[in-house]
Formats: sequence, structure tokens, C-alpha cells
Amino acid sequence: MKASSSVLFRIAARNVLRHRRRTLITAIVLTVGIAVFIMFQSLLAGMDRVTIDTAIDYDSGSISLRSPGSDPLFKNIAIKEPKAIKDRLPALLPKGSTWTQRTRFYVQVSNWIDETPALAFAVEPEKDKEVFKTSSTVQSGAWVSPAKAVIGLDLAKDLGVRIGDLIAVTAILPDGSLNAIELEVGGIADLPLFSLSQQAIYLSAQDAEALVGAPLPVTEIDIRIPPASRLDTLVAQSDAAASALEKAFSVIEAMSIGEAMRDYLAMRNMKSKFAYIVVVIVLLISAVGIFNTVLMSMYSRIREIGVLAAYGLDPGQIKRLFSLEGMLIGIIGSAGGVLLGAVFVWWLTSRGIAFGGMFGNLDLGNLPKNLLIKGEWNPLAFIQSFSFGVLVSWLASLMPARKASHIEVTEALRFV
Amino acid sequence: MAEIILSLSDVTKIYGKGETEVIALKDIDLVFEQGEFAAVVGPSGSGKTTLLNIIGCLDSPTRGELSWRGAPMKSMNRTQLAAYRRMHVSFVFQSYNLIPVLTVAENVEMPLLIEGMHDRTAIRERALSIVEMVGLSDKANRYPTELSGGQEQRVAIARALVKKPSIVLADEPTANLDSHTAGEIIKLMREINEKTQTTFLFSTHDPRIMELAQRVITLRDGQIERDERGAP
Repeated sequence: MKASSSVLFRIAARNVLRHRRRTLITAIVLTVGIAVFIMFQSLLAGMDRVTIDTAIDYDSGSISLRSPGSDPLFKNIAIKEPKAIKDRLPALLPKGSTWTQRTRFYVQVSNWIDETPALAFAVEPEKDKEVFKTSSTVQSGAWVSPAKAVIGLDLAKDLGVRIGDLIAVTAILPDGSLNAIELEVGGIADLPLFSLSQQAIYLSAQDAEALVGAPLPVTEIDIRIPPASRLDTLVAQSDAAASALEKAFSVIEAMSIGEAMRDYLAMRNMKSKFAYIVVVIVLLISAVGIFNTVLMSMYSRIREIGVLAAYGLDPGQIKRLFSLEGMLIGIIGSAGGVLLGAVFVWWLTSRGIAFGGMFGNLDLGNLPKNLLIKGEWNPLAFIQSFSFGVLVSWLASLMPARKASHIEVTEALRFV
Repeated sequence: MAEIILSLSDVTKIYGKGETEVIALKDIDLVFEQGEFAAVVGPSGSGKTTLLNIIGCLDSPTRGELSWRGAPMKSMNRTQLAAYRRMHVSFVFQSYNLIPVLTVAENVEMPLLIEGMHDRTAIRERALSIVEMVGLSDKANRYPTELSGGQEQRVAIARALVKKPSIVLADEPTANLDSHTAGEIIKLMREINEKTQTTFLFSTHDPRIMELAQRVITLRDGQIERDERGAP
């Protein structure tokens, strides 16, 4: 029989607690590093969430069906037989999905004195609410109705128009001629995306038909699939649904949110890698600390090693004893990091960090104005950082542990 | 005649090589029986500690053979030697070498834990009975730093005895103690030897302690000068 791991664990635990200050200082580096990593990951996930959600809620939905090869912002290529496509959607989409059609085209908007280019959206006022949150951003006036348009807040400011003012909307027709209609500003929307707030004008299908002619070409069918709690799941579900739609309708292109935000998601992966680099650096610093602590612990206990060996602890057990000590420091530091990280994430999820004021009127691209990033709980980040912390601590203690196991007993007992 | 537990045959230990070579032990032939109370004496550098280290398998002989109950130990690796120490041998050191973070009772329990005993209650009971035997029942929960030198050595003896070893090796166990305490410690060891038939082999310079030994092995320059068996 020989000493079981639980005995070695007990001895190791006593030794770790023996030098509380040393253990604490070593573990604290790990704690702070892991907590910062968890917070950083939470913040990044929150930023991703707000970015993707903003795109879904105000720009493209979870999936946007368009004509193949079309650049949705600059060419208006109509979808052929949109009604037939919409009729088949219930069978092809996850339960709870909603959709609406939109016609997106460039116009000129005038307040009768000045004129500015704008992006018009002809919407189905009620169906649009099932997919987009645009209607809820109307801060004054009301959502789209016949002869009444909703315009972005910055566009309204730019034109100096208020609710009830009349504006002229001019479009270039397919034959190259111009046509204009007069609309009343029925609502002003504080849209979260700068690009929309500065350019968007929403009007009813009837008004759009009056402007560009009937029947109104449909440039996109936007779909919202039921929300998933995790962003990755949402993107994956959207990709899968888009792929199924493309197979079903060979004449249209189904752009998932993952595809629409491809550049952003690529950048997101880069950010995530950066976070890993940070944690690797922190873990390396911690590893040096743990290596040093276990080595110091070994040198300060050489006679003790001699006694334990004299009483029959074999070299393998001595090695295990010291590597356990390193691992215990790792567990203490990592557990502290996870706890501190959880506090940070709780604070981030409940309060969030408001970045809006920080950037003023700067166009943040995909990020919304008045940016408030709330953290996201990411269990994987907790598990990963805890495991890495313990693993690195164990690895860092292996060399001093090996050294301890190679000490000659007689030399250890003579050591002063 | 008692059972022979340990025998050394032609054991030589040489440290260093070439010009720095030192012969610590030379051609030692010894046999130890169960229940002996033997002292190894001799001037400093005569090889007392080396002899105890070789018997305890803390060190290996350069030449010669060590046998435990007739089984040769030459071919054993470090792990097997550790197992031999775990099962059969205990040590009492000159400077006690108690583990400072453990209480008296925990220090005494340590060999049982290393041995792989699991029953916490049995371990504690056995440790406390040995602590009582060395007269330190009231100090069971004290830490080594709270004890006198003599008390620390009593704890070391309790630690050595708790696992019921076949042989206790004590390297100058009284060297750090005053003469009165030293006498008490040796008497204690003798009492335990008589009571439990545990073999004790200790090195010493102290002539009063030698008087208490049944057998006195005198070493000089690494060789046995005398091996006398007495009456006490």
C-alpha cells in the first residue's frame, strides 16, 4: 500500500495554506487575468449581439431574399413572383418566423429649398412591424400611412423639417425619366444606425407606386426567424434557413445575417483571437509566478522532502505532491478569476457600458448610435479560462516538482 | 535465537572519485536480530551516519550486499526502496525534522498516511495512543514550534513508532538535547524496545547512552573496530 492521492492532496493543501501571502500574490495575477479575459469576452459578445441585432432589427432581418447578383443598396432588381415565394415560406422556415417585403430605391428629398439624396423604403406598414423595429423608433408623429412618410432624425434635421411639413420625393424611373410626389412628414424616427438616420425615408406601397409606377417592384423579402439566446446559434440557424431557401428558390439569393455581416464577423473572430492572446500573455506571466512559487516552496522544504522520502514517499509521489501544489494555486487563482469575472459580467449585463457619448456624432458603421453595450454570459469563456488557468499552473509546477523528486534523500536531510 | 532481520555483507561505501575519493565504510559485515537495542559509536567521520543511511536504504553501498530477512536489496530501484522504507523502517533524526505546519498528532499520523491507511478514526486513535506512550497527550494539538527540544524528539520517536516498524534508525537522537533530557529519551526508547520488540539502532557519542545499549558497534575509519554485546 502507499499514500493515496487524497493524502498527497491534503499535504499539498496544507503547504499552499502555509504560505498564504505567497499563494495569494501568485494566485492574484491569475485571478485578475482570468477576470479581465472573461469581462473582455462578455463585452465582445455584447458588442456582437448589439451589432447583429441592430442589423436584424433595422436593416436586413435574419435573412433577406433578393434577386441573384444584385447589390441591394445600389441596384433595384425586382424579385420575380414575390407572392409565390411568400406563399411557400411557411413550409420552409422555422416555426414562428415572420416576413415582409420592401422596395429599396434611391430618391432625392427636397424641403422645397434644399435637396438631398436619400434611401427610400416602400414598406407594408403592419407586416413590417413583425420583422423590423423601425416603427418603434418613431419619436414624434406616427408610423407610415398613405401620403405620410417617416424620415430619419438626422435627415429631418438636415432638411429642417418637422411633423406635418411637406417634402418632395423624386425618383429616377427605369426609362430614365424623373417623377416626383409630395408627401407629408408623418413621423420622425430616431434610427440607431447613422446611415439610416441620415438617409432613410419610409413610405407606403401606394405612395411608392405613385412615384415609380405600378405594380411596385419588390426588391427584397426580409425574414425574421425566432431569436436564439446565443449569437452563434442565431447565425447558424439563419445560415441553415438561408441555405434551405436558396435550394428551394433557385432564382433568388438568400442572404443570411451571417453573410450580410461577413466582414464584421471576420473582424469579430480577429477580436476574439486578440482576447486569447491577452489571456495567453496573462497565463504566461502567471506560469512564471507559479513556477517561482513552487520552486521557492521546494527549496524552503528540502529537509521536509527528505523526511517524507525517508518515510517512504516515492519519487513519483513527491513529484505529484509538488505539482498538486502548483495546481492548487492554479485552482485558487482561476476560481477567484471566475468569481471576479462573474461579478464583472453581472455588472455588464445589468448595467452595461454606454459608449454613445464617447463618439459624439461619429458614424460607427454597423454599431448603433447611443451605443450601450451590455455583457453576455458566456459559459464557455468561464470553463475555458478556468481550465487553462489550472492546466497552465500544473504545467508550470512540473519542472520544480520533477526537481523535488530527484533530490537525494541524504542530501535533503543534511540541508540547512 | 531471535530472527535475523537485516544483514550487511562486505559493505563498502566510497564517496567521490580519484583524488577526492573518501572511503566512508569498508568491508562491513553485520547482522541484526529482531528486538535488538544497538548503538553505533565512534568519532566524527568514522562512518556512523553512512552506516545508518545504508541500512535505511537512504543511500546505497558502492560494494557489498544488504539483505532484508534474507532477500537481497541490491537490484531495487528508488520506488522499491521507498516501499521498503515505508513498510519496515523508521527514522529519528538529530534535529527532529518535524513538519512545522502539522500539529503533534498530525506529525505522528503522517507515516500512516504515507503508508496508505485510510480509516481516519483508526489513524487518529493509533497516533494518540503513541503520543500518550511518549508522554505528550496534553500537547497533541500543539505545533512543533510550541515544544521544547526534548518534547520535539519525543514526537519524532512517536512518529517513528506509529507504523510499527521492524527497525528504528536514530542518528544521534540526543545530540541536540541536554544530558538529563537525553537520558530520558534513551530510556524511553529502551522501554519501547522492551515493550514492543522493535529493533533500535542508534548512533551516538554519549558514553552514558552507550551504557544502556545491549550491543555497541564501534566504528573507526569506516571499519568495525569492535562489536560488543552486553547485558543491559
